[in-house]
Amino acid sequence: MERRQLLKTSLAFLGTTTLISFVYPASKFLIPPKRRAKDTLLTINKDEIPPGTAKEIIYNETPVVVINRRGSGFIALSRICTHLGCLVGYDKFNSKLVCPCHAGEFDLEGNVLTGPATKPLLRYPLKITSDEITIG
Amino acid sequence: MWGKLIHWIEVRIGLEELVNKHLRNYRTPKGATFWSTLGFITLIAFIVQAITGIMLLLYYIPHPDHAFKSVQTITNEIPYGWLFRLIHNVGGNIIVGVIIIHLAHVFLRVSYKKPREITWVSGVLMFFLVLLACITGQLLPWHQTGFWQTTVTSTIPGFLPVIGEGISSYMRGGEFVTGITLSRFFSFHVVILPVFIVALIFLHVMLIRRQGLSTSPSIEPDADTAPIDEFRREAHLEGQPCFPHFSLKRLFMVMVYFSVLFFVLTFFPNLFLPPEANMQADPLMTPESIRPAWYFLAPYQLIKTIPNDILGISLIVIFSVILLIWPFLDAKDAGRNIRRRPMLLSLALIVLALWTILTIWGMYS
Repeated sequence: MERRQLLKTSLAFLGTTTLISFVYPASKFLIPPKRRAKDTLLTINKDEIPPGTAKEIIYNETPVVVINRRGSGFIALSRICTHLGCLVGYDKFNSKLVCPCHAGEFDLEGNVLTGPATKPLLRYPLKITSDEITIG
Repeated sequence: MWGKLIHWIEVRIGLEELVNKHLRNYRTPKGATFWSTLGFITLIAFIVQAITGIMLLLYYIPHPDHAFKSVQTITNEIPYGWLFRLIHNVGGNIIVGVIIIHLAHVFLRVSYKKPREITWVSGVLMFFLVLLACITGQLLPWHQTGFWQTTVTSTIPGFLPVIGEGISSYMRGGEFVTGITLSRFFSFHVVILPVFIVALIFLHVMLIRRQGLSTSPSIEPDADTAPIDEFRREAHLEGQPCFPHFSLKRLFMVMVYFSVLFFVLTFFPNLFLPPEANMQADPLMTPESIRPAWYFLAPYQLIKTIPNDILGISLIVIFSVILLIWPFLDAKDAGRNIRRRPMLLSLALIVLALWTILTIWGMYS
């Protein structure tokens, strides 16, 4: 190999190594940190949610709605619309959940009724005692 | 493949013409040494600060309740967060050191004389703004060191009669260092100061490109003694093209800069982070020993030594103003070779010696 070619190759190698040494940590740095899973349970009083009403709460940093369905009991659903992430609201007159962004509608089981969403709302497990509801 | 890519770029940008015009045809003076690359190194150091600063901004939260925690998260949890934080921290100190050496070199070469007065003034202004960036930056992690350094720094202007209290209050956004101070310092550190610094960099570089690099007075001792009454660009036909000759010197010094940076990062990572920098700011507890950063030790010790506060701060203000307007105070046609000007040489050496003594004294007092 000629001297000039050797120098060029060495320079290219060193340059690439230096670049990677900066780009790799920088790209790793930009990856958002993983949220730590919380095992905390959230307990609310049954009296706070009379039949036919709902209560909006924050569970593990996620907006959740707990609904007391007439005849079907309690259910906890994520309020995050599975279409584009807006928050659904409880429509007590029509007994459904409505997304204000693109008029998506979900039944009180979280299933899609109409609108652009294709997946049901995320459902959270509940433990119900005589006085309290525990989410998680 | 590589050749095709270069050709593709060449057709669209005209890289060859750009390199010829701005690097090969731009000539550096005979005897341009590694010292002459310090301005370029300052620019590289500033770019490093800007890049790492922007990266830190992705996770930093400028609020008293979250600032300390967010910096701890960056350091301990975000991948390579410690690296970018330390580069920003150590780089901020190195940039001040490089500027001080650059200023001293320009002064000792008497390169500030006509027609380069504005170049000097813009350089000194940049130095002051970088110091302000350091002052504002030290509060942002909301740790004990930064909090109390800011408390002390923002109290010092209060010694000045009439306007002093106003300056202190303006700096803090109130009577004490609070969340308002943090918001102010954050705005200054990430937006206002960088904008002014970048503007001054453009002015500084533009002037250097227009006038040409100054020749060393020891190479051409009588070159600049003739009166200059019209714009004259120094073509340096006797010198070398900037590319590749001087560019290689610059490249070497860039490597030296990164070597120093990573040497400190590797062997002395806590050099500029005292133990109190790992404790959240507590407005009700002053640490036992609180000292400013090394580049403020000299004025700190001066104020401590002189019993009259007004006199101490006045001396610092007067020194800063003299430094800024020095080319206009040394405007006589006395030549540029400092070896033939014993008074100027003595003055420079006395100031440098005093600054060094006060810094060491401040470190151990």
